[in-house]
Amino acid sequence: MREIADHILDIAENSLRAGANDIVITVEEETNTNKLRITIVDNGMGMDEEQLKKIFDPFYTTKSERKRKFGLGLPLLMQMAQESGGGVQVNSQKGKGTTVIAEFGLRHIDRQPLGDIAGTFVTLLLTSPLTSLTYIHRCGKKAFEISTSEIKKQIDEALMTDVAVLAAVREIIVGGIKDLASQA
Amino acid sequence: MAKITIADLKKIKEKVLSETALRQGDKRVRVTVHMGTCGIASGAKLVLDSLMEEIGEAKIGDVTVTTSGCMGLCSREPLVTVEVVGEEPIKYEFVNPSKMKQIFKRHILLGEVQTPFVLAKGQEIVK
Repeated sequence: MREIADHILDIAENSLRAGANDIVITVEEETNTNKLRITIVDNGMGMDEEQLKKIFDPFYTTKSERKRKFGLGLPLLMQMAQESGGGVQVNSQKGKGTTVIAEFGLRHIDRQPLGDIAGTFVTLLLTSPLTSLTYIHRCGKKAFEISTSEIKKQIDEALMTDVAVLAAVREIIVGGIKDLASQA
Repeated sequence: MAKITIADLKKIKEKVLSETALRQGDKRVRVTVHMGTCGIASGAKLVLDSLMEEIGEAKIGDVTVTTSGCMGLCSREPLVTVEVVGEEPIKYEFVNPSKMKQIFKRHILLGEVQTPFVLAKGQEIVK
């Protein structure tokens, strides 16, 4: 993966395939502790303790479809986080959902950039327009938040994947993050 | 916290109303960008961005874009499937943003299958 936003997309795509209809992605930049924390919370089917023990094993997957599934998403995320002095923690409860927390060294020379997070959000919206998606970006005392449930109050649900909606959402996220003076 | 504002939402609404007014007609083509871990790692998000850009510029409303997971051909990613109504689906391999633009302009708009990029033709059969 080239950037952290790609990992966020990958993890959130897993959430969607686990049946989540509510996903909250939070990016927190803590300059005083030199940490960049990414949290992805979903209300999908969750995992039991046995599955949780194996999730960082390369090629382990909970997917049971007939098509091939490789199970490299979390091990790759762990590798990227560890390279910048961070790590990944996963909490999950069967039937309730999963939380993935990845920490990176904010100013670490080997930390990959956050990258195109607006593209990640828009891709998720396109993949699953009925899912409630929230993106929160905190940078010190400033914060930016966007939620598809707020957008749906103004826009017909059927139009959520329209090119114009996706372009406008992307523009709002790019502008919101720019205002935060993000270092990510 | 700086949440999305009413002004932002109005901006989205106005943009949608003005742009959808330009487009008419039923869906004619479905394009699927494969977005498993392998696809994302190979640049599928850039391919999707490029496709959305082309659709926006062409101002057409008869193309549906979807995503799907890994189809088991990770070494050929990014993969894109183009399904034109009444024709067999075409799977393109090793797609990048410039190939996506070409596929959009030549195959989706003009109906010319871009043979050099094709991996397979027809439906997937899982045995």
